[in-house]
Amino acid sequence: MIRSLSQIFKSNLNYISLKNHNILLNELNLPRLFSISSIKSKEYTAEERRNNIIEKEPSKDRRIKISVETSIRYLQSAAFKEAYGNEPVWKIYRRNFKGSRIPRTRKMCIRNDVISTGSPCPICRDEYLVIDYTNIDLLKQFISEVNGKILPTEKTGVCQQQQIQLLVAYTKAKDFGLITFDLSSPMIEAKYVVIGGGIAGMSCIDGISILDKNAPVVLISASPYIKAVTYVTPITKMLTEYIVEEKSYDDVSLMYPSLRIIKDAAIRISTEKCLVETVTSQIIKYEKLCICTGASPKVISPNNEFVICIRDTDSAELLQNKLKSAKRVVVVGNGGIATEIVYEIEGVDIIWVIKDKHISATFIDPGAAEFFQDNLCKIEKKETSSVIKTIKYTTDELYESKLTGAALGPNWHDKINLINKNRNSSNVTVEYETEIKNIWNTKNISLQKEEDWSIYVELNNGKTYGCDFVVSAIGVIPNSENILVENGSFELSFDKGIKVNSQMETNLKNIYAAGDVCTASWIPARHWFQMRLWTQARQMGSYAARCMVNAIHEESIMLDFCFEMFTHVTRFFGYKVILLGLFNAQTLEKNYELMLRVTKKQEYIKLVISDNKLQGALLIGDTDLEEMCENLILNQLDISEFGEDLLNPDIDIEDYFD
Amino acid sequence: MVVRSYNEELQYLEKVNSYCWKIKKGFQPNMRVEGIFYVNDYLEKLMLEELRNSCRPGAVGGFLPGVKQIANVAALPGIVGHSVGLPDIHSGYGFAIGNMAAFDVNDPQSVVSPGGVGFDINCGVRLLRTNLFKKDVLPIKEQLAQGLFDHIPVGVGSKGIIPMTARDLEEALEMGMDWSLREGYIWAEDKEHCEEYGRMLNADPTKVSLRAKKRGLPQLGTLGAGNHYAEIQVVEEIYDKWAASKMGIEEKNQICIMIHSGSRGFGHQVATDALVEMEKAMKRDKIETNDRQLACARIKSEEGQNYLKAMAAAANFAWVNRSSMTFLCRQAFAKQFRMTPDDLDMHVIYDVSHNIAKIEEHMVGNKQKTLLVHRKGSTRAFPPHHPLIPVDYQLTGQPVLIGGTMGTCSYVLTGTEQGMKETFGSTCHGAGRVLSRAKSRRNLDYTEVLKNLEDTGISIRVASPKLVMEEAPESYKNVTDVVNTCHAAGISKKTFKLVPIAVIKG
Repeated sequence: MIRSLSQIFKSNLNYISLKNHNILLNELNLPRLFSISSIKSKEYTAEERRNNIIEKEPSKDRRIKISVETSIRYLQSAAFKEAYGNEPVWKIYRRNFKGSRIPRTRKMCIRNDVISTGSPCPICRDEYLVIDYTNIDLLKQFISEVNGKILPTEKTGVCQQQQIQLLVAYTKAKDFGLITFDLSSPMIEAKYVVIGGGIAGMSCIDGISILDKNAPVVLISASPYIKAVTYVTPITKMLTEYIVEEKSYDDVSLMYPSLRIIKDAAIRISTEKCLVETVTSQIIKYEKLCICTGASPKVISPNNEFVICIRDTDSAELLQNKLKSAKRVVVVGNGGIATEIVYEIEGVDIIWVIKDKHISATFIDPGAAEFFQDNLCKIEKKETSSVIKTIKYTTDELYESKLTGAALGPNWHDKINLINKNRNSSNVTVEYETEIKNIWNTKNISLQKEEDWSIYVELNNGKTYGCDFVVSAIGVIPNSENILVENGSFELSFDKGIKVNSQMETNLKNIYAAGDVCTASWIPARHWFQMRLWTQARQMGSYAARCMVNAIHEESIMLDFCFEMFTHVTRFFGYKVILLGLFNAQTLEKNYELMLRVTKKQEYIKLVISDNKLQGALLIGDTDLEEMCENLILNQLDISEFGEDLLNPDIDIEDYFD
Repeated sequence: MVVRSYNEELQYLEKVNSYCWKIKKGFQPNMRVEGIFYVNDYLEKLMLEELRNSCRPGAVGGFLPGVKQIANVAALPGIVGHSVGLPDIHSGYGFAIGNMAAFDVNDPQSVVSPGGVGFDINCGVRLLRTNLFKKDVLPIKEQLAQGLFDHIPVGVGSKGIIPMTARDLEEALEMGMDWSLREGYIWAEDKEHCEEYGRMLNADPTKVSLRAKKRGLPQLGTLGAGNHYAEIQVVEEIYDKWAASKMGIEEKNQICIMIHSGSRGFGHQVATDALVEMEKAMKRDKIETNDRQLACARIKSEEGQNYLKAMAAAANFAWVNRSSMTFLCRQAFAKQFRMTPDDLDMHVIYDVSHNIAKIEEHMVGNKQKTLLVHRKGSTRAFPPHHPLIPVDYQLTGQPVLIGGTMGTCSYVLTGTEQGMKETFGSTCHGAGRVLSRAKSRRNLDYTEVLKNLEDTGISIRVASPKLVMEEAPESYKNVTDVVNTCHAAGISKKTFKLVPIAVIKG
């Protein structure tokens, strides 16, 4: 309102003044007058201008050219040392500009043999610095340590004219052999470097790509394929099922545009210079380094061609090939992989050697082992194998490396058909509480009566078995000692894992570790413990990514909630197996009780209760109880009043605690 | 506690009309008010069957039947009106799920109970409408579902599309949907169509434990597991054309999107923390309840106030969560149809909360009173002309969204004047579980398993039904039965019905 009023007022005024003016002009009848004024200035010639400057500031004079020889001597003189110290000449030079964007440097500082600016560039300001291909000392100050090229003007502040001179001199010096440079290993620079393309490594890269989108990331991986978690199915808030796929380098590069993959094995780390060196002596500079080199299987008898360690895809394929002609196999080990092998191998007699009293002791209790017992005699094998996920990859471009690839991950047997087609019957014999004493490749005298086998296994309990080959799956040792560390070494825990703190940091600065290679050495939450499983590899990988990104932004973060409670989901004998919290009463000694519900061939539910509170749960089969158990463990709710009714099959308990 | 036979128990129950039963004082000790519950013939059978089973000799402890839980709530100090059981009631921790109760704020004895809110605080349903029709969506149903699946981070963890730092979380807890609006995830009009405008003003993040924040942080913007889901639905039947058109539903086969989610781990932690605090407060203030699970504290006490503030923060968390998913749904649809969400008319019809306690004004015996209304597994259903419902629905009454069991049908109802009088403006919530697999008869056999576990020397309890019941009590209630009962009882009115065409499960 006010504005519009004033506008009217103003336009009226104009009108009035115009009218008056017209009247004035008309009355006087005079022509309009224009005043013409011009500023007259004396025109100087270029020479005069130069002399003027020199008169005022003699130091700007550049008429006398200094010879290259003088310059070379100058660079070694005490005067030079005094002026610049040990720093490169551009180090103390500051440009004047506003804002955060660095503008281009000026075209040239010297015009007509005189400095035409107030702040000449670091080369122009010192007349004794003469660029020439023989002036190596000067050139070296402008060569990047990282990639061996001339530093950009943004960094040095050198004017465009001198930069060209620098480039010319640099090229010429290289031609004359005055500068040595390394053709093979130009240094690669990245903000984040991850060693190892297993589940932990890929989860770490995935995490970084979300949190710090365009940051350059380098992955150093020796194995020909990369494990990527591609399909995530949450089961409860904390429990997740994944499908792990092996991907080729090209596929992974497509997924993460800022990722650069180096197919090589890291052998040395320099903590001082933040450099990683690979076998083919490529050098990678990092700001934050994450070691995800995983773990290697323990070997019973190294270099025996009839002993196979199952750990990565290559060895799983080897197993497949050997199975074709095998009649009897000895499986050693009692963990997840051994259990899956026993379940998956068909048409072969299996002798399963375990050191515990019951099968799969790492994960399940004797009761659950009993529950699975029926499945050992594979009379009625599930028919679901018709849907096998086809994962495309070729094996011909195997990278020559002695290092083993990444761990198998869940569902590995989906893509490898472990069925001997020649024979149909299969028989599993379990040898409890025993270990392998000896392995021979030739027949022992005591075995004369038996058939000929390619390998013989003698057990602690006195029995001897001959078989086609031995599958060893007796656990892993972290690959913590494959990489040399200059000036310093990783602090290792008793199980040879690299110790990491609650920020996934190792004892060395800017170096993190995640997955099987590390050992968590923070004080664990009550319901969490470390187990070298892919679930934890993934959690640690993504958490390490967050730690690294936050460390760069100088923030520390709280320990992720996934380390509050142990969770794992897997499949044994075709059943879904969910492990939550202290599922085997770990750390509870004898102060606990169990609550059970078993339906033969359908489900096995075990709750570990201590102090009237749920501490852990083992759920086999489709129980639908995982979310309730998770919440009860985390909430530590008193459940004494429910008693056995908690597992009463006639009561719907799933949403009771909603 | 007195043990009575089933027939004796029935003496305390009285059928008021064909849809409403009354629980008389004395059914459980110390009942301050009477209880009522709404059932139809079928649901009535289920309710009474449940009671009958609990009356069998030997069935002591364990789980209380819904009727008993309603009565126990009626014994809490400060309760006014009735303890109301809604048709979809089934047993839960403390309060039964589907139980609402109001407490007089000005009565110094009145209590607030975390068991009356539930663990999944502000678990609720949001309905988005579109101007699309079944024929537009059916051919690309799969891609659309996949698109939604890709957009909505269903799982755990830091992978949520919406990046959240600890500071963001703090702000989100305080501001609720105002935070989402400020960050540009929702439209200003979304807030209008949301209970409390998507923000509980008394939220105080400092009253929330660090553990709860830690548990909540990675889950913000994720759908969640359990019975949480997002569904693409089509309108199957319109009962009230006028009310439906007020909600932007013009014709059959129109496409809607329903999001059902809550505060997830965050709410669980808030509730657990409060339960521990309140147990202490109960000893101090000498509050006695019939059931240990009904831990509570006086509204005016520090514990009570702390809980209300933390609960409000958890409610805000849930709204931010649903808002984030709204944003992702709109994005997925926009991408698929190459149109802006605005052109697709993807407005929020309404957003209801199932598990919440709120301070409201109600008429009690012709007197206006300020009440703390606990709604657990029940939905607010305000009648037309109520001041707290948005302008658009002033004439129709507040829309009430009833999400069915995942994969079955869902309903939209409106609040009624009768509901306001009888149930403090509350009605059913509907979202139940799928018929449990546990129902199938099983063959429990322990002998061999136990033999193997003997060596450990650990005491082992086994679950077994103590006696074989002729008929297992069925807590599964069909959403159509539930909604029809509410409609017939007059506590809310059917408007339209939706059926899903694609489900994204958490």
